[in-house]
Amino acid sequence: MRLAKLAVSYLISVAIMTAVTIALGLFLWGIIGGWAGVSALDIIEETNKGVAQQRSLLIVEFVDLQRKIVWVSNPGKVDLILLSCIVYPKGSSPPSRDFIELAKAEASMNAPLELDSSKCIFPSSLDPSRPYIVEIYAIASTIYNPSNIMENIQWAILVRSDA
Amino acid sequence: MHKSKSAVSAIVGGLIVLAILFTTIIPLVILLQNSYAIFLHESNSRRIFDTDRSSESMLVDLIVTTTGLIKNLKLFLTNDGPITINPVRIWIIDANNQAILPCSGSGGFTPYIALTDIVLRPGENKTIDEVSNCLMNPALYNKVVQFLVVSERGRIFSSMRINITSLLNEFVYPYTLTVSIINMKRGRDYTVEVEPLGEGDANPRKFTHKATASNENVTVAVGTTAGTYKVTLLENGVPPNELNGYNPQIINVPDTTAVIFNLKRVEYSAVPLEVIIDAPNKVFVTQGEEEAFDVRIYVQLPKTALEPVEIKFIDVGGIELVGLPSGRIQHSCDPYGSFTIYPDDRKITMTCTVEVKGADPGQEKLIFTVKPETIKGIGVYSGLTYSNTEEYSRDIVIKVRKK
Repeated sequence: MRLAKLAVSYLISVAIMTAVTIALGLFLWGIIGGWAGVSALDIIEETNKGVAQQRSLLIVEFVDLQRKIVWVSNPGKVDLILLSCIVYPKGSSPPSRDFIELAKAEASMNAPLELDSSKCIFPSSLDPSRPYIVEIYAIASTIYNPSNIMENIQWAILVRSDA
Repeated sequence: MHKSKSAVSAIVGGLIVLAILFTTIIPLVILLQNSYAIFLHESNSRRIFDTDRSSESMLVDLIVTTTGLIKNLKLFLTNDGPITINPVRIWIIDANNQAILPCSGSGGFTPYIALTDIVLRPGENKTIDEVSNCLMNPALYNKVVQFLVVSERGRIFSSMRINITSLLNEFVYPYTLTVSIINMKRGRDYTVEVEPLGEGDANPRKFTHKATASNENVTVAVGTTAGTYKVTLLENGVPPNELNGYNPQIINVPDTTAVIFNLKRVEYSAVPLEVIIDAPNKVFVTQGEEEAFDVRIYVQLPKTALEPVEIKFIDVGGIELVGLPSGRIQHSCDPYGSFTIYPDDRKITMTCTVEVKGADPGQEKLIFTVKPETIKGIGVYSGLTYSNTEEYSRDIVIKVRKK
């Protein structure tokens, strides 16, 4: 009788211990799995942003101070969305800028992209004998979110060139 | 019994830990390593691109090429760097105003010249003909231009700043038409209009001058292409009465390249040109030996001449030396190119070198002669022919000494 009592408690205790171990193990697995999944997505996303930035390249080919036109081209590997373009006198502090989607510069050197005064901010009066600076913010189209322009702005590139 | 009881949960726990390790941690580490490798590869690729980009080096220059009689302006690109360059675009800019210059090669306005399939290997050079179409444009007059060449890797190479005016004069307007206004009246405005009749082109087409002195003369140079032109002179906005029948003048360039409006219409007449022979009076020659000396021939336009004369024809055959047998004397003359001589002005026309051989000791007379019509010129205003109508000669004593 005593032996039978002992046998029941042994089986029950093994079952309980095992169940608790499995439950805790699955819980831990779930937590770690979730964390790993989120981390993996973060890693992929961050890598994509870093790669997109490495692939971004924009050059200012010429700034026509008479017609107020900036010509840019994209010799990089990824299409770029231009977010801001300002021209200001060299030596002075740059004016405040707004980030809006100005134009898309395709990754091709076939033709330059024209940014006229409706897209680029020029000083009200321009003296061609004075030096000017043109500053353009551009972001890779692969990481650009049109519904939230500022989302990945830290991965945008800033092109500063003499005009 | 206790040992076997705890072993089951330990085994289960160990299996779960292993499962967690193999299904989450290790894949995550692999993903992390992989992402890092991808980023490193991209970063390395960009670094190589940037190194290649900064290694590009190209010289840009504007040159003039001549094929037969046809001259052309071309852009000369030289790859003086260590890697191949693909130029994709050329900008022609007004360097003073930082503006694009129009290039109407294809009819419409294109701000740049697109280049296709141009590859410059290290050390190679190529000429770009397309710039010629853009540069042959009167709009570029008085401009300082600069060429910017964009490479496929995004480098921009620039030329020196080039003042294009003198080059354009030669190419766009190869002929110069001079319009002279003679004997203007003080205080009046004179306007010359050059109007192309047909396909010709002229620059400038209009010129105005206010006479500040009586009998003032002015000459205007107009760049033209070949063609027919109507040249009109206006005095205070109307054609002057003195020129009735002579104004406007219809001319054909390049047959005619000078137009003269003489408001006093002086009756020009050609005056004879005077010749001055500058030779030594006496030349000493040793018996049996040769002696050489120079004779310079000058021409003088008499003070009475009413216009300058352009000396255009000098006949070396008009020089004659007599007095010595032909075996003992020989000469050669070098005429000077065409030049303009003014009234009471004297200029050298040719230099003759005379070689004399000494014979028997004694004294001989050599006569150096310039025959009539040896030197001829054209009156600058009238177009009349001027020449030396008389014969001029000079005696030279040849003294032969004993050896």
